[in-house]
Amino acid sequence: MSAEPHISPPQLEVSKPKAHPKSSSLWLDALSRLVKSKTSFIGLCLILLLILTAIFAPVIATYDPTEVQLLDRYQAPSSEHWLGTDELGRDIFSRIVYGSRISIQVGVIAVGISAIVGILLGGIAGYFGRWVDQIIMRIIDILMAFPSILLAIALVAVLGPSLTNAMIAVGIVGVPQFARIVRSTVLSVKETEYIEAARAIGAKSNRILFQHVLPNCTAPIIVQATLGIGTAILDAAGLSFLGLGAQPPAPEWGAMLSDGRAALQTSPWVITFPGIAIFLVVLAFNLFGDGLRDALDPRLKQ
Amino acid sequence: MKKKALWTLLSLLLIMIITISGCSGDEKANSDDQKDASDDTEQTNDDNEDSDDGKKTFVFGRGADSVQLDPSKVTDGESIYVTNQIYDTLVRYEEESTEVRPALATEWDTSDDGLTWTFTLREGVKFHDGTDFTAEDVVFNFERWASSAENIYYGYMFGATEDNLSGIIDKVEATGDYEVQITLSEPNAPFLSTLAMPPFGIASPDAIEKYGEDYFKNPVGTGPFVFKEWIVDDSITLTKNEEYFGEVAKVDEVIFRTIPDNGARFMELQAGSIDAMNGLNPQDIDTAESDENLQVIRRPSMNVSYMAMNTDKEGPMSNKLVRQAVNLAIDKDKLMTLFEGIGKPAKNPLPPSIWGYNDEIEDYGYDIEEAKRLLAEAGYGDGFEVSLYTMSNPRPYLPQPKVTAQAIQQMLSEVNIKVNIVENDWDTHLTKTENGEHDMAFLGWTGDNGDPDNFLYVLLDKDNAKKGSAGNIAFYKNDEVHDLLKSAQTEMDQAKRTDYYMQAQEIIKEDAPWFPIAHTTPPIAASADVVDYLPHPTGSEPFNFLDIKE
Repeated sequence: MSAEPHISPPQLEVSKPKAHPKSSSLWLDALSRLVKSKTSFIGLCLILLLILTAIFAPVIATYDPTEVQLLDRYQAPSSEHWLGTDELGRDIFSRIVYGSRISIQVGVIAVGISAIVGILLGGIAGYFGRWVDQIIMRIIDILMAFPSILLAIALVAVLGPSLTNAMIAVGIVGVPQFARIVRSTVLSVKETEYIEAARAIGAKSNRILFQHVLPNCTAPIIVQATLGIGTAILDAAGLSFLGLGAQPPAPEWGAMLSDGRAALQTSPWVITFPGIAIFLVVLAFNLFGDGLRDALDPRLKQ
Repeated sequence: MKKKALWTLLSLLLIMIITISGCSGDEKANSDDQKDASDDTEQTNDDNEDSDDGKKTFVFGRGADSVQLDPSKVTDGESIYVTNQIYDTLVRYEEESTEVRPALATEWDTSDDGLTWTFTLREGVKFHDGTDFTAEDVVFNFERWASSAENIYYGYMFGATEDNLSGIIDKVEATGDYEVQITLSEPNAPFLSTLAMPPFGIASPDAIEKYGEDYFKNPVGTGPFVFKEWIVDDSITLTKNEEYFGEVAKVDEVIFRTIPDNGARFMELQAGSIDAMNGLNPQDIDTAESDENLQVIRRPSMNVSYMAMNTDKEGPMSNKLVRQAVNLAIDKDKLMTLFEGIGKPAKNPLPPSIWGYNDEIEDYGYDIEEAKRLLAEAGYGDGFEVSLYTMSNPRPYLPQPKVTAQAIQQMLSEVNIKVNIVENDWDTHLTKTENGEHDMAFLGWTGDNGDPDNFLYVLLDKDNAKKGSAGNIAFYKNDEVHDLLKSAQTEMDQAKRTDYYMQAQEIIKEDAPWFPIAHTTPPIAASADVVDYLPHPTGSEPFNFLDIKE
């Protein structure tokens, strides 16, 4: 990383030294604020739980998630099947546990795609301005004009239904948010004095952009990424519900909801638990994302 | 600057107008006056059974929309359900069996050699467009069916091919205003009962000329109901034909509503917004039976569901040993739990309710080791990947296609066959399988005329294994079977025909072009107020007999 300070508005440093003597402690500062907020702490715990579940899925799960037991269909929750069984007699608890891997994968990869493309586009648009900005941002506007799930459905329809394509589609749908946030941050960062200094000593545009400007835009990007993971998981579950995402027999939560619909009246547990799982994960990322935003907001420092 | 903005605005508006008009043009397929018709639907959707003016409406919910309303061009049950209301055939089936009774023809006679059939037609019948029904119209319809290979059922039933479009029907002549003579090139045992099939409904020649290409969405027949409106993927509305020559319908209006999801459809029935529905989820049967506002009506079984293996496609499925191994590797009895008591395991393409069923045949049974051995012998011991095409909507013979596919996927994985499930909507599924894009595919068949020929010849003869219009989606071509089926067609003696069909079933079992799944007794759920609903074994019944209690 560069030697430049990571905080942008210099006047803020004055108010900080009490708690932390060093100027580079923005992150520590934010972290302490984050942990103090109850809601974001709950979000963080849920996310950790999700990650642990995904890592230790084979240990936690009581059955093979794809094992069909046609004679044990629609079993109600019991000590044998903690959350019951589905239309093919598969253990719902094990499927949800393994499904967490898919959800994390979808969330991280889709947001990764959104972030990489969005940061690049937003950074270029914001830094170079003029016609480059016009062209990129108008394309982003067009993308934003589509309802996101509709655009994702259209993309998957073109690419063909599969989990990979669903991740790509959800990723593309998330690009505009990143591009806009990065662009607006770049616009303010590039007017600061240290950028002016860099330019004065003759640094090239791409060096300034990637070494100096973008690293100073990380806070809003992190917030957006956290919130984006929740949305991405929800969108991907929606696509899978429609049969456009994960293909059977993958234990994807949205697909589980869709398959369980037939028994809505007789065996409600088949859709209840995957529904709760989706709800909790999305809630967790939203709470944590909100907490992060508050923690990283310089205006809240006092 | 201002001018620029104006232009942008204008072009945006233009795009919007084009999009909107494009959409509405696609969705609406109704006939004369679009505006008028859509006003009507709003009304009919709001008031269900007994509306203010005392109109009785019977709303039937089902899982998929009709493909076309020109019965000569389709084979799917959802299209035929509707055309069966609009059209009459020369003869019709009895209310509960496949015995024939007079309809447009009042009497018929056949020559001793079985080649010449003479039909005396009913006088004073009018088409829904007001034109009179005469012998010339019958001739016109027969000539139309024989004019193109698009008329799929005509090809299936009368052996028409690209080179011989008229098949076994040599000549159709009007020998009087109300008399028609049909000459066949060879005797055809099921001929009369075939003519009672809904695809051979007599259409108004005037309407066919008037609408041309668009006839399929503007059907005009002589049947108990008159076509009113079709909103694609939503509903088809029919009104009663007051001047019907048979029993005039007791309800004033029939609406077929498309509700793809079984569960949602059942909830609508419980809520009373539809009067009857097919495709009841097996697990909802108990709920429906215990609800005093509902009744469950069971259709007599005359169907089969199967997984066809594409013998024509290069790769494992063209190998007989592999197909036998697939039959051995799937535990059919376990699969039956997915039918929740409405299905019996199938071992033959013919349902047991049809004569000619070979009960001597022993099914493959479930034997993983033997399956593995056969696969190794065929050189596929290490496994392979195949596609399994399935429809997304339930069918009467296969109430839960996707779940069934997943169960088979799991079972075949035990013998190292990796199954990729390809799910499509009904229309697309039919097109893709008829084109032979699949390795394996689900499909099923509900008998049309109660004759074995209608199953074996349509579904497994090489004559019907033509890409694009295949009834035989296993693309199974066996000359021995073909000879047997052809002999059975031209033989009038039922005992001999039975013998031919028995033999054919044995060869088919050995070649294993299918994995036969089940014969079902499809449940129909209806409101307790619906009376005299008599389900027909062929899968659809005219609605002029039923009534709704006040």
